[in-house]
Amino acid sequence: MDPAGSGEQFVVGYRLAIKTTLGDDFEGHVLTYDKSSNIVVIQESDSAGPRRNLRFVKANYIKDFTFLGKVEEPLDIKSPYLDLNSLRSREEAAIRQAEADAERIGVGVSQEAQDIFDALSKTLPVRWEKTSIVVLNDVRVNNPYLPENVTGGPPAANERVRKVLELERKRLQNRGTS
Amino acid sequence: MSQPQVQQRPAAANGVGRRRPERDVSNNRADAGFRSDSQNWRSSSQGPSRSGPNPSASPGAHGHGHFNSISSNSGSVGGSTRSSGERAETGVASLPRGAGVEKPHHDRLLFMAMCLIGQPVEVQVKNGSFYSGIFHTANTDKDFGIVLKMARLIKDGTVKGGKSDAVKEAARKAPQKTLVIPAKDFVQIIAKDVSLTGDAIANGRARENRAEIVTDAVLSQGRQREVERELKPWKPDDEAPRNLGLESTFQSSWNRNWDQFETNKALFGVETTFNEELYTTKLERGPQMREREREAWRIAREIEGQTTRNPHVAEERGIRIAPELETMDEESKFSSVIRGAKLDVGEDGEYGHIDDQNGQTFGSAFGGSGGASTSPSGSSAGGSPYHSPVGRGSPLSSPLVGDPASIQALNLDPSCPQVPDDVYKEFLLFKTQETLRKKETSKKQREDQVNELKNFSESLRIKDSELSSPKAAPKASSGDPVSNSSRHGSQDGGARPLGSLDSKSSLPSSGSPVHLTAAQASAPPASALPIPVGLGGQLSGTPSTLPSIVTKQGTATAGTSFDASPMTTPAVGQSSGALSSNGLSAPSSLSTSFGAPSPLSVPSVPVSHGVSPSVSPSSSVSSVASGAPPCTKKSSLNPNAKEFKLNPNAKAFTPSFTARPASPMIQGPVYMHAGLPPVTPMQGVPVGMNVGQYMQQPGQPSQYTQYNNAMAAAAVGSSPQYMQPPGGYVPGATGPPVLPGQPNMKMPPHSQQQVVGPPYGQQQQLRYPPQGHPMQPQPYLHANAQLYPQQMLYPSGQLLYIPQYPQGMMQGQPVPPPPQGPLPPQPSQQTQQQKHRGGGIPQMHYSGAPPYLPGQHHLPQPQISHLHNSLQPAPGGLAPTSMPGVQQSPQGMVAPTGSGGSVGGGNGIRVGGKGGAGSFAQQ
Repeated sequence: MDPAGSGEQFVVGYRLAIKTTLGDDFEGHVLTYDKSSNIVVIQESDSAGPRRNLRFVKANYIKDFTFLGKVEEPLDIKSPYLDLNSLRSREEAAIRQAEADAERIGVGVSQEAQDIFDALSKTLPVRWEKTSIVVLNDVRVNNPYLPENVTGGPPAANERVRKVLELERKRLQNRGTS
Repeated sequence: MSQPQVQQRPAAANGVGRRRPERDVSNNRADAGFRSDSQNWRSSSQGPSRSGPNPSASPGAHGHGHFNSISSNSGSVGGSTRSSGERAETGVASLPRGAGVEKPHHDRLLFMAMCLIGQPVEVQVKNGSFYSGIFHTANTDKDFGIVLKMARLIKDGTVKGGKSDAVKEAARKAPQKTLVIPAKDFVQIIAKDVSLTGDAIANGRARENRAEIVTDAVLSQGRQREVERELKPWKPDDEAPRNLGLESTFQSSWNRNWDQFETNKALFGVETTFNEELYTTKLERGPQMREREREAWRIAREIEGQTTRNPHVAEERGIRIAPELETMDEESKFSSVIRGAKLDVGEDGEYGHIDDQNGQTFGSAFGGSGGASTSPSGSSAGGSPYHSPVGRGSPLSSPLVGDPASIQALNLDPSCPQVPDDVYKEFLLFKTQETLRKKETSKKQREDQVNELKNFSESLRIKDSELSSPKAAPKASSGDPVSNSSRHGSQDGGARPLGSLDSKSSLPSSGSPVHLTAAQASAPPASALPIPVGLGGQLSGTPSTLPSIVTKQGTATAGTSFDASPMTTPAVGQSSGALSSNGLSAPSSLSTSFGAPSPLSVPSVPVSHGVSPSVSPSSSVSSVASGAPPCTKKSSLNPNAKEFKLNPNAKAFTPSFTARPASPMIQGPVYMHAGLPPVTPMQGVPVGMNVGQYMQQPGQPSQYTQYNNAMAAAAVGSSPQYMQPPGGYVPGATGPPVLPGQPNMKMPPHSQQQVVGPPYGQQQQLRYPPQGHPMQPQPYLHANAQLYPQQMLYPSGQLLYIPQYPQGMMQGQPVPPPPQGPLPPQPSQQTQQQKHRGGGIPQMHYSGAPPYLPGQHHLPQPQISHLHNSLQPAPGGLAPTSMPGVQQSPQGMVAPTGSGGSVGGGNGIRVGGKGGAGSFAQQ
């Protein structure tokens, strides 16, 4: 399809069924179309109200679309103002959260190790240090993360970590079997 | 393998280079990333891409606001967006009417892109792979390249179906801090739950999307204060057990025997240290267990069986006390503070208690009601003077009392408080002792008293000069008082006294006293009593006064006896003074009750007692006796002045004053002014009080003359002082004397007290008055308005004392010319009077006043004239006049008031008026 030609069809408010060259199919109405970047912004039909599901699609990748109708008030934005500060703070918060989540992921560890880590994290403060799980800041659980691999820390903590690890392993095992 | 490769990659990427080096690098990496294995991708993304973009931003020249903002070539929009911290107005609004087709659409795109900032999105790239990440920025120039933060490959486009290893591995690794997706690779952004309204973006939405746990601390920071979070009801998972509750949770067998300690020990090897006895009373089981349990059960039922109006208690017991409570919301039921206090019995009780206390606290003060009796002020059985008069409805008291305002004022005055319990107790004790003594030695004492009185009379020169008249007066007064007391009717009593007075100038006074005693039942006296006693003690004459008191008591009868006694005491003293000659007669009349014995003993005792309450006064008295400077006395008097606040009674007196002033026209008017409607009563009353006291005292000494003097001095002084407050006085003249008084006068009461004080002071009573006694005096005064007449009667007896004072006053006062004038006549008495003079100093002021008095003394004058003439002609004349005036004041008051029309006078006038009228008429 000729992008240019298709571009003519991306009229704001048109409700379209779109197929992309990569196999995506979706419906929605056009919120805007920028010719210079050749980007079409589609609001998916299954979303409405203040929360919208948007697609920023490069028109080049739109293989086909069909005209379904027109939407009145395609962009009912009452407050066209954005607070860049709040946008940034939102972004920062999201990044922090993502980083926090990322830290929970062990680098270069097995899925089993990650599962153990997740299980331990439910009851004890844990973090990754390389491939070792550090519990309570003192006790280290080294690969292959068996109770006998628990080292360090005060006896009580060590003992407790062993116990939890043992039980969590048992649970994981049960879950796997079931 | 990351670092080395990463470095190499960038180089290669640079080679590929596009217009923006850094970006190209990242782009290439990105491409390489998802084309190649995950490791490559990762390395590339992690290393260079992170640092790359940032540096590039600045060199990136124009239009590349990658990271900070979405850059746009379209001028206005770009500009606005670049200004961070401000609200960027995008072209959205202007889209419809945009000049160019391109621009509005472009602006709108820019706006929407900005709405994605910080939003988790999925981005598809050319090879079909999806990356998830946080939208960071985009370049909307010509091409649409974007930057993601914390990006992660979630779908490998190169592998159809299932998850590619790359994706799996990516999921297991930290996301790329920054992933730049160049325009050439960009296919589409899929963003869910995007808000295109600025408000929503900034608020809870993002947080919700982040699934961030928001703590209270964060909430309280108010980041999202703008918009209220949308609250979502919690819904249990299907798996969640239902009916979780204390009742249901432990019903099933498996957990009914649940032992947390056992479980904990089994699972984690934790030995419990729990000991129930740490949290509750140790239960000792023994042979008596059953009985104990039974008893406990019984008590429990007893408690629970009690009715309650407390909704909370009722709920605990499962009682429905009020249907309406069932409909109340939880807030009302359990949380809100109950302000009505209607439901809580306890609160009601408390309030009631408070009220009771109020009654105790204020009731006495307010006087009219019986509360007074309980109140300290009402120390005497008779209750507070005010009350008694009111209750009894005695003519004299009634007028004064009749005025609620005056009563309140009186009450408000320290009077109530001033008579402390201890004082009262002492008084009672003293009283009982006295009564016993009296009973025991009544006859002997009488004789002794008579002797003493005689001595006093002798000592009192006044007696000699004036005794003849005083004596007669005392007799008359004594007789009158009794009759008066018996009658209670102020008028009747007054009339009789007057009659006696007529015969002897003292009669009017006597009449007034009678009224007081009878009408007020000596309630005022009660307070006064101490003072009188003290006076009596100091004054040789005082003993006599005591007897008079007794008489009064007798007349007044029991409860009032105390009060009356005090009041009467003065009179008695006077009478005794008179008695020396007439003394016996007076005592006889008095004798009815305590008669002579009490007086003597009383005086001494009173002094001591008086001291306790008003120690200073006593001291002052002593000082006075020693001839201490008037000033000191005045000072003491001033304290008394407060008590004088009672002035309300003054109204009655005011009339008297007016009467006195009558002759002095000016003074009279002045007084009147002072009295004026509102003030007059008060002032008048005080004056009356003073007068009354004075009257009594004066009357006793040289009854008339003394009265006159005292009256003049005291009355005048008092009146002036009172008057002074009004200001009328000042003009009035007593100029200097008055002025002194006035300063004090600020408190009309003070002035009065001072005035009174002087008389008393001279006698010592004055001093007393200031303290506890002052209160009494005031009471008297109040009563006095009415009482004065009665007191007058007393005064007849007391007059002797008073005369002394007057004389003393006169002498001591001589400084104020007028007073002295009178004094000379009474030199003989001066000795005592001089002592009194100490107190007299205040009188000095009075003396100043006295002159006025003379003028005022229209009515009194006759009597006064006698007194003055006999006792203290010129200066004394003033004083005497005043005294008569005072006594007369009641009487004369009537006339004056009638003429003057002073309100206060009305009351006092009635009493006095009757008596006075009678006297005058007689006269």
